[in-house]
Amino acid sequence: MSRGKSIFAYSTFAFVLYVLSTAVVAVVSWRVADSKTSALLEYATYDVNSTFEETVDQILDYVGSSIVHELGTARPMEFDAVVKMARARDLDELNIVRADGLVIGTSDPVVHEKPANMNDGEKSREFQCLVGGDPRVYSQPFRAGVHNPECVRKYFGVAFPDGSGYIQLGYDEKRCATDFDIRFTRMFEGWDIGVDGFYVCSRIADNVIVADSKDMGIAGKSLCDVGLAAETLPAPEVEFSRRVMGVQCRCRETVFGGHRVIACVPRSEFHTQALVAATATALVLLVVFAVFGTLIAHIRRAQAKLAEMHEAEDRRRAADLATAKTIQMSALPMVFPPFPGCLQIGLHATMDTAKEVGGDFYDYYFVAHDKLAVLVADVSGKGVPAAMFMMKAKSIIKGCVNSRSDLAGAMTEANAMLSQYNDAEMFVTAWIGVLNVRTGALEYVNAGHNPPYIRRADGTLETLDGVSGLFLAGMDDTRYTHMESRLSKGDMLFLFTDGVTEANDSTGAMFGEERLESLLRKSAPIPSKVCEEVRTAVAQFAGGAPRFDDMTILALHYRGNPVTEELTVKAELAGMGPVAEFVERHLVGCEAPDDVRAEVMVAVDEISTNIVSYSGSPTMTVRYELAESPGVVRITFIDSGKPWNPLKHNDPDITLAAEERAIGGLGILMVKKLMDDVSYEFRDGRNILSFRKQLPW
Amino acid sequence: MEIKKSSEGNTMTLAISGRLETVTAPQLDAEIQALPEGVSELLMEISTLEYVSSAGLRVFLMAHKKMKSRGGAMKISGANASVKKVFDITGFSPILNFV
Repeated sequence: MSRGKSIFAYSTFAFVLYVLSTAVVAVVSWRVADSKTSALLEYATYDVNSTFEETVDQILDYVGSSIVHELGTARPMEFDAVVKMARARDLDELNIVRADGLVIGTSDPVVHEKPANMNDGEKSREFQCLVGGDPRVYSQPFRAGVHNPECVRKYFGVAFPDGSGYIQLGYDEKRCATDFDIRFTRMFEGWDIGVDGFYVCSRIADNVIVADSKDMGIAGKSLCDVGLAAETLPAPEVEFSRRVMGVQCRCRETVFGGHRVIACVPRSEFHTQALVAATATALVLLVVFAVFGTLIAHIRRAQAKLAEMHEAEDRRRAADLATAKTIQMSALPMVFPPFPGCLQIGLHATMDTAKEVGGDFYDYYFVAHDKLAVLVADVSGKGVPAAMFMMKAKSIIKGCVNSRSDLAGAMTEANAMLSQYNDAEMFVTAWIGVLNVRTGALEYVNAGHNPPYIRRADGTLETLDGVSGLFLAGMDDTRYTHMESRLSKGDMLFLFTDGVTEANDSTGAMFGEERLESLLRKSAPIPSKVCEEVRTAVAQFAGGAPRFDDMTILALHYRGNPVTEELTVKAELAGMGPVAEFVERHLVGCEAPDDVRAEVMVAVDEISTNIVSYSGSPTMTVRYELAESPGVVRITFIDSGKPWNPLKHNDPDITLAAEERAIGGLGILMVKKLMDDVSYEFRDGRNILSFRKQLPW
Repeated sequence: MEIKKSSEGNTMTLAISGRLETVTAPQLDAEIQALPEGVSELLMEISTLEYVSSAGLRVFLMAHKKMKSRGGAMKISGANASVKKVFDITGFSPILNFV
């Protein structure tokens, strides 16, 4: 996925996630606001209820305490005195109770007639806890009377401090309702529920509103007028919804003292709460998403930048390796045939690296006029370090071999130099041979390298398995000895690194020495062909399996010295073909370049044509030989015809118009111009015409 | 040597490959002798000709003269370095038409 696309997908995902979470938050906020409103209403009714109870209790405590103070101790009192005392204090009932529960003074005519004991009634017995003076007071809620259900009364007890008993006060709801109007309506002033919530307080008896908490001026109105028609209200302490004074509210009613108090919370407050909560959370979420989004965008940008840097680094490294390979490969001699003028030898070498750069190398150079050094080496390891060590090894070996006449001494010195400052602990195996191209004498040093092969002219294969010492750069005091062998005409020396024999196929099997040996026995002794055949065979064997090691091959064909061959044919047209083939075979064999070969072949055609056409000789002999100086081919034609020196004739005029041209003489002109030197002599009854051609050297 | 013939209108093309020397020259000579009357332009395509000796030069010269005498022309295309060198040293280059 592209970066643009991925950012788009990410943004879409983030947006959807945000919308979803905001929706969830909105729903949750609504529910929370809803339950908070319910809790608020419940608390509001509880609050007003308990405040009322406390207030009534405080009043009764005050009244009761004054009576207890007046009486001093629980003592019997006359009915009339008690009634008088109760009336004076706006009480609906007053009883004086002895510690054993017996009522010894009462304002209740029934009890007056029939003396009672507090222990006899289930509810009244509760007041006995006051005996002993602790607790000092005991309160019961408003309750319908057992004998007279119409009468809803609250009982309150105050103990005598001397433990002699207590007094019980009775306070009717009706009286409370009257008192409420006077004493309690102010109680609501300034009471808030939430922010905009309010109380509406009404008398149960006539549903007239006596007070509200917001000073809304509705006192005196009917509940019906403000939208809270009493007959439509549910039971107390049950939540309901009404439109109160034009405002949709959630309400809850509580009842006491002949009054109902309705707590109302406008719906808008509940909505506002939910909205505020949802908006606040949405904003927080927005900030969170923005922060995370920015953070993630930063991380992604950083990642992309890092990836770019990695890519650039990889490209740079690849470019460096490619450059290193170019430098390394350009350090190897790559022009083939390397010494076309040196007719005694043909040489070809190839190197295939496993990685971009490898540790293998080959080398060849003349160390004297007729001494050719050939070398194949394998540096431990691969990659740039191996390649750097390879460059060092190559130049040190070449320097030592060039500066000393004894090969073993040169290698001993090269080893000592390579061992110095070899902090990387690298080493190199090497096989180096020096061939005297005139005699075929071969001396060599093998520093821990796999032994090369000599393919003899008859097709037999020999291994040059002499080992001179440890690999190079291993021990600084290794002394190498040289060994000797000899190449004869047609022999081929084949050097290689273990990348050839240890090449793997996909199953892990190795190419091995047997395959290589049978290939070498079969192949034609032409160095470039041998190298190519081995490479092809290894590639076919590997079948696409990756190469783990460098593979280096060097083939040196020794053609022998001197090279002199002759061919004698009948001096007729039919003999010209064999003569041309004879010369061409030798020229191909010494790897003469195409243009040089063409020029020699033109000269051969001209001379042999002259002999066949004009000499009258029955035969002609062509001799191919290596001349005295390096890279010079000499070809000589001998016939026994009439003496004829072509060099004596004047050259034809080559400036004439086409119509005036004759062909005669052009052939000899061409031979003279194309060849380096043409000579003629007539000796022992034979025409001997000879020419030389210098091959590139 | 191998000769491939092709003609288009009044033009005949002889594509010559291999070696044009004493032994092979008569083959090309025969082609020139048998050149149809109507051919007014002869193109020698010699990019794959390895080398030419004086026997071959003779045929080229003859063909050149023959075409000229008909009021036509012989043209040569694609000579390699060796062939060009032979044309140069024998003074053929100025009188032949190279395309």
